[in-house]
Amino acid sequence: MNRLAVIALLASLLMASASFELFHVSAEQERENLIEWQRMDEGARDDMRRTWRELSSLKGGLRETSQRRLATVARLLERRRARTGHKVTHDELLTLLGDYPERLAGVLDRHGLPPGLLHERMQNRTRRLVLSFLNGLTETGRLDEGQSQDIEGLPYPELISEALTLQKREEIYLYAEGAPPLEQVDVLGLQELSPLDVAEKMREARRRRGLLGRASRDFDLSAADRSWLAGVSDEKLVSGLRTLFEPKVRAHLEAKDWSEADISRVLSEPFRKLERTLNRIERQGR
Amino acid sequence: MNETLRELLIDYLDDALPPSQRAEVELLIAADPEAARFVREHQQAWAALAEAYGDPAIEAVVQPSESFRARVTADVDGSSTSRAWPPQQLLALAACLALGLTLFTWMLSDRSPTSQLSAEDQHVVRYLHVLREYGVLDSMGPELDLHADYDVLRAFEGEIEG
Repeated sequence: MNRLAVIALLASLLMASASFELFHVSAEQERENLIEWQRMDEGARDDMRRTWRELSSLKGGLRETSQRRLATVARLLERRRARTGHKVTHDELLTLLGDYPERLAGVLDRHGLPPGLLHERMQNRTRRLVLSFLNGLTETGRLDEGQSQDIEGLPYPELISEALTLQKREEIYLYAEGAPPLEQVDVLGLQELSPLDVAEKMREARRRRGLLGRASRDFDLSAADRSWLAGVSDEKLVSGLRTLFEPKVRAHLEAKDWSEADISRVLSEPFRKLERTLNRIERQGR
Repeated sequence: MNETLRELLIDYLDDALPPSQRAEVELLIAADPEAARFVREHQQAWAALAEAYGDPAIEAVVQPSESFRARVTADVDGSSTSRAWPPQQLLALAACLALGLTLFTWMLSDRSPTSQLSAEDQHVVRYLHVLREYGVLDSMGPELDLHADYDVLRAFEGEIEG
């Protein structure tokens, strides 16, 4: 058996060396990248190849840091695009990142703290949340007490890594427990995503379920429509919502004497803004 | 391409067909561009592996000697002696497993639109949207680290709130 283990290890090393993967990229993003690649001239392509080689040649901690930072850039780009409906430009990315410490201090209600201290406070808060999370898992019998204690004793980076892995497992477990979303788990491709991407997707799924729950109550959304909209991409969700809601939103806004131009603007807004408008309409309707 | 044709082509590539059926498949490949592409890409994959690991290793992988096979079988059955294998044979068997897994994954997965590109360009295209921003990794490193830590915090805050 030991020999088989050695062979399996060698095989996995060979496969890993042949395919260096950073993180999961959606098929949609890859198609967009391909279109952009086809538009690039050979000089620009060579620049990108050089960048890839530089990244691939990094070792140890430097490689780990670069991978983590690149994954963060990818999440940031995807999140901003989902919110605004358009691609983030390089300058926008620089502005977003430049403003980030101050905005984060605002979100955490820690204005005026130097970045180093802000970082430390945030990690302390995360540690407390992780310990509560592990405690919750042991109380519900989802994690053995001994395992939990082992994880709790780890240094911060390993503690986070283990907790994120568990959190991914739990998110998928919770998501799959509901009415028949096992196919949706496949649609979302959760298993191949990083824990942080799974957390992001699940947050979005919960938010979407809340919206669709309200919509089914206030806009006569059928169970079949709701079920379909719960599993589609953001793009399809927006077009689906527009198709289903447009007559109702239009009628409501016309009754409020909105101009045609304003109604069209609302209906053409990206998902988040459309959602806020729908929430406003819902509150006004009560 | 339907499953029957795919299986037939794989048998053809594995040299597992009788000569008469092999000739029929060759006619089919000549007439069907999709089948031809399937066969060509399989052969390219093998050629790439041969280039990566060296022809002798691939030959060992494709056609292991009788004694080699006997030793593997004996070991799996738990009836072999404890004689150590030479590193070259361990590597060859590992390459065999890697090749098998790679081909299996490749056959199961949807064909990527980038499959016509070189292996390096496939990676570049996959990550193009972030490679373009590679410069910010250094210039905005602390901000990105802060962002990553906040993403972790949010992941667990969501769990508690949820």
